[in-house]
Amino acid sequence: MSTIVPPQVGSVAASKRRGPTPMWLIRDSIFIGLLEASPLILAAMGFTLIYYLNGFINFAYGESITFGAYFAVLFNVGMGFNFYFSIVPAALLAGALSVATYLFVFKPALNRGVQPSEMIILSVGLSFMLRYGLVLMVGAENVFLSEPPIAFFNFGGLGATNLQLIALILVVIFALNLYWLIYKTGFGEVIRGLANNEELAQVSGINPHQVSVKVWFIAGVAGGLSGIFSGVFALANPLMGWNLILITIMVCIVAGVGSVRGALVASIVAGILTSFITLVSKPLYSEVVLLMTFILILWRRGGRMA
Amino acid sequence: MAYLIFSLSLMLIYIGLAQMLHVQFGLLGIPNFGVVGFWGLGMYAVGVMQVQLGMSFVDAMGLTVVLLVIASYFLGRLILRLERQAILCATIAFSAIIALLAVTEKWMTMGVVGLGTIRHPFRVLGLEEILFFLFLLALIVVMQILILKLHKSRLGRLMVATRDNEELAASLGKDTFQVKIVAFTLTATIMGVLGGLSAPLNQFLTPNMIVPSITFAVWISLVLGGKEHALGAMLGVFVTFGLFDILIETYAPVSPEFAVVVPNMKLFFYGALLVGVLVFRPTGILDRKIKPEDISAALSRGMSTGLAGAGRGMQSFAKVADEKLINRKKEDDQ
Repeated sequence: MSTIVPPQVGSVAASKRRGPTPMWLIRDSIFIGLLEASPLILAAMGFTLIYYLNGFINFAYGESITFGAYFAVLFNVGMGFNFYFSIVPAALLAGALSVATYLFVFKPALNRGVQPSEMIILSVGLSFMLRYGLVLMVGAENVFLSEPPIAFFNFGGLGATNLQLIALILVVIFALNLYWLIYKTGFGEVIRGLANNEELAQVSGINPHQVSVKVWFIAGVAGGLSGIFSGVFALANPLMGWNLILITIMVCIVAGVGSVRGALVASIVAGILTSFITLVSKPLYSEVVLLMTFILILWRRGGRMA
Repeated sequence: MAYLIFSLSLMLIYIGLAQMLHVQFGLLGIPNFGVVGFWGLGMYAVGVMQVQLGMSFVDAMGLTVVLLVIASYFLGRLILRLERQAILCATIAFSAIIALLAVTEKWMTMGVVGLGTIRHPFRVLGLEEILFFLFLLALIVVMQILILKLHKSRLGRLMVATRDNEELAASLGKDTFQVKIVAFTLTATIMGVLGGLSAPLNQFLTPNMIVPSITFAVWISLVLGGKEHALGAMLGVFVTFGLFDILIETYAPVSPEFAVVVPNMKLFFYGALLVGVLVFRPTGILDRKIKPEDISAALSRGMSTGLAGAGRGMQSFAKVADEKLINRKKEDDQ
């Protein structure tokens, strides 16, 4: 299993060269963590919406991430679009894929009354099917986006590339929009109503089917963007979604089911924690520590998922 | 021929894993998605002890069992009280931790370079693989017989009752957590032992053997074969592993270009099969062995003894009440 948040060129190495004085360490890990958390923030916010509304852990969401990156490669490299212009159709297609998984697999299964723990197994099956379908079509090799020229910016001794900054800005815009959508609009209220009491929501004239399709679309777009930004930082391969989904699920469960706010905070914390552990030891240890922390948090909570 | 024996031995390992998962998920309802974690832990433990410490296979296996019992008991204590979705995530996290540690702990596992060579335990020239295969076969047969017995036993019914309604089973005085933790420790340890047994089969260990697709292959076998049927695990592995890994990869006349695609195609079909089975026939090919009626019958038998006790209590209560009534009547008369 490769690293979940790929260690970034330059910044980690530069920081390691400077030596681990505590103040620098904290500053650096917050800075790098924020830069690198953007795929995780998007993925966590999208994932938590589906989890909130339909009440099961959707492993196939990882394929929204992977396919988002591959759609971007298709538009960017395959069709020769400008990098920034290929982001939009790629994210929309990822959203459409997510809606398709809901309509053709998850909705029929939910209608048949499949239990939540079996829904997860179903989603893992779908995830494998999509992933290896992709491998069959395009091969398992890494593919790269043809990116615009990279420029480095310097913030008091800390480096960031223009792409990282653009990703961060886009994530902030998207996250604010999503936050506004969920907590400030009528549609957000409808989602929350439906998640809390489906019968009551239906009686009030809410069409659960329509809302679900919209939510799965928004979640898919978020996943697709997350995949594109992971692709920007490193490369796209068929396993990237699977590698990110585990940490995403962890973050969402720790944050509390359906809390977009919590997912936002928890993913930033996870990003900072990852870069901190990466700075003081090996990148892979940060994953080990995160996963162990996750098991311990579940145990402390005594099984309540929220 | 040698390759066929290797494939068949591997198939027996998969059957064993699926059987253990049948006990965990089919009977007890513990969704263990970290099968490859226990398997990999056992495999690497045997490998490290044999190669780095120069132990014999039997000694290494003995110590591995101790290690596995400790690890799975500890993990079980942490997670078995949780709800099912949480157990599933925690076991996946466990297997990811094992896979990561196999990469990072280079002083022990040699990291991505790989660890080898692990010798076969039977040192008979030319017959090593055959003997090992027969040993595995005997092991799987014994486990299958034990599972068939378990299905007929009180313990098996208690497991199913724990799965379907833990509160009810607990209210009848059964220690359901103990059942779960003992069964989980035992079956997870056997999963690890099967991993230890696949160490000499693979001979050379690398961290990229500990991949989620093994967990997934075991799950699809079990769900396809029938998760609640005693023979479901075995049938499922015959259909998936037997069909794809043995018949197609070994015997089907495929061109070299196509042969590269086969493993990916296999996982694609596994995924499609799993989706199809869960949506259209959730019980798998073989239906459940223990019918819900049997469980409710067994439970109502338990209930009726409980009710009889309660009835006795009621009788004595009624007697006391009667006496009081009679006394009051007497008082009234006076």
